[in-house]
Amino acid sequence: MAVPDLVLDPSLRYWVLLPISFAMVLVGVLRTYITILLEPSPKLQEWKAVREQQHLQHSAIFRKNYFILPSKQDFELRKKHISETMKSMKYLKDGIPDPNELPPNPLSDPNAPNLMFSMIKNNIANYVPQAVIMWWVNYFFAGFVIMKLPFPLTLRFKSMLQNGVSTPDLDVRWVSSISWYFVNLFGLKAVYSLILKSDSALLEQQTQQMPIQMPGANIQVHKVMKGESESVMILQYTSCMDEIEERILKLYA
Amino acid sequence: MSSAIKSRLLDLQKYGKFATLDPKDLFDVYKVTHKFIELNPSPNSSINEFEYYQIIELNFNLCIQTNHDIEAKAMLDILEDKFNIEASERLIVLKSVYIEATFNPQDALNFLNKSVNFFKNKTKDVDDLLLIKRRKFILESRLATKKERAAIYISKLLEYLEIKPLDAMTWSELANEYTKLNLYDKAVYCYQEVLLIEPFAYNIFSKIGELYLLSMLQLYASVSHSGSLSAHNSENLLVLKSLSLKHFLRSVELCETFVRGWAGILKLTSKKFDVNLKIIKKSSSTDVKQNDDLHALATKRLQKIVENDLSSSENIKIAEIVLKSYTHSD
Repeated sequence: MAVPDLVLDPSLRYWVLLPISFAMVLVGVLRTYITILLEPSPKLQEWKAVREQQHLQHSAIFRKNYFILPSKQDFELRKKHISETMKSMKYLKDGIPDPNELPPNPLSDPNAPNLMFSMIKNNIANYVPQAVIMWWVNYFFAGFVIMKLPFPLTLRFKSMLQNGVSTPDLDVRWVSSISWYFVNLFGLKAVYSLILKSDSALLEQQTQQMPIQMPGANIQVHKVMKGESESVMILQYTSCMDEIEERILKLYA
Repeated sequence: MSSAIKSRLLDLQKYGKFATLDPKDLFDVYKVTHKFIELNPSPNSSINEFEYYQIIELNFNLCIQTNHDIEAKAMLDILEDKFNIEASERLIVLKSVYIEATFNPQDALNFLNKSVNFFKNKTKDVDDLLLIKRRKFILESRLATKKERAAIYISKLLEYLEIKPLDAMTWSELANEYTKLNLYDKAVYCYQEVLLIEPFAYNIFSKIGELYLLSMLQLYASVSHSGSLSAHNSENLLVLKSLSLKHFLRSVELCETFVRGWAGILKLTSKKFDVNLKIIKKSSSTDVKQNDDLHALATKRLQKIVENDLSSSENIKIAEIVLKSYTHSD
């Protein structure tokens, strides 16, 4: 059954369609800047924490690259030194923990709330504006049919494009206001990247530099150090300079 | 083309290579960055913000080294306009470099001491500011009297390295200081730390080779007055020679046109090298044959490098000199 074609008031275009799109773009841009503002300024690492990490890594690269040492003497010297410093725990950030003490509760870690708070802040910055716009669209323009797509679509798109208008027979090409909101919500990424091209690169960098540290990741460093000390002790000496004379003569023969 | 230049410049900045260039190369690179910034006065489609400010920093460093103070100040201003100097250790360090270059180290040090206050709210312990800390002791050692300088500098470097043992640049700086004081085994230890971090750094292998060669010469000079060498001393000389040779060999294994490495091998295996004359009698016949083979190989390789122009003009000049003084005439 053919439905007679609808005639749209042109004011709908100027007072509903364009305002919704405009508000969406504007809010999107604003949101990006708010996220940048909310980004916590990178914290300085404590030098003791840096030292602890560096010494752990130092031991790890010794285990990986010890083959550059030319003589067994050099190797044994370093092996002993590294294994002893690891065992002595003198580079632990907070000293040796009491064995009777329970591992600290990750939820009571003083740094955790900060991290969680910043995550919540980010989420709020994302969701609140969306909720507000959705409320705005629903409150003022509920049930509006605001535009007609210039191309035909199958019936499947009906639920996507005509959200909020319950007319089973209306042609799929007509789009309702709340559906237009959703189309904008998911389809404006390209527009944002056009407007904010340089800032998005900056954001990427920032996320790269910030080490991702989950609250609750509770590694007991003194155990790692003990493990390092043991794995350094069992290394067997080899060198890249054993029989290098023959190797070179063969290589460049 | 421009993107190739860009990535080359970014590498120079990233690996700090601009600090070790020859004066001529330095000037050439400066001209390139200068032109590059002239063509790209702001971040655009071919260079994003992140890369742009890295190139600005590179140009700042080059300007300081090539005496372009005014341009250096302009670069510093661009960075200060973009980034908050009160929150950036790196920028503070750059500014102190500028102050040192245009005023004097004392002013730079005063500036650093003042700038630590910027971080009062962010950290309890000023030792957390590792970049500033490192910069400060470089300046302090520069201000110290000549006699005290080495001792102060070395102790500060060691203190820093205890916190950051993975800082290859500082290790090699320390090695340099030890070499100046003729403490070759300590210098070798430092270069070995560098190698642990960068196990394929062929130039460091040849540096260690040179240090063993130097300590061999040192030992030889101290014992050669007495005419003939004792068995113990010649044994030691042989050990040092073999260590030195091994390191040079490793360096040319990693880089086949490395002139310093081949030159070292050539010298160590040459009959014209006077230390050899005394210790060669003690070595076995297979060693002598290997020695001669290596000498022939090094000669061949160096000649090839010279003929085919496989290295920079300066290196080729060195290769020619070494070839002239150490090849066997027979």
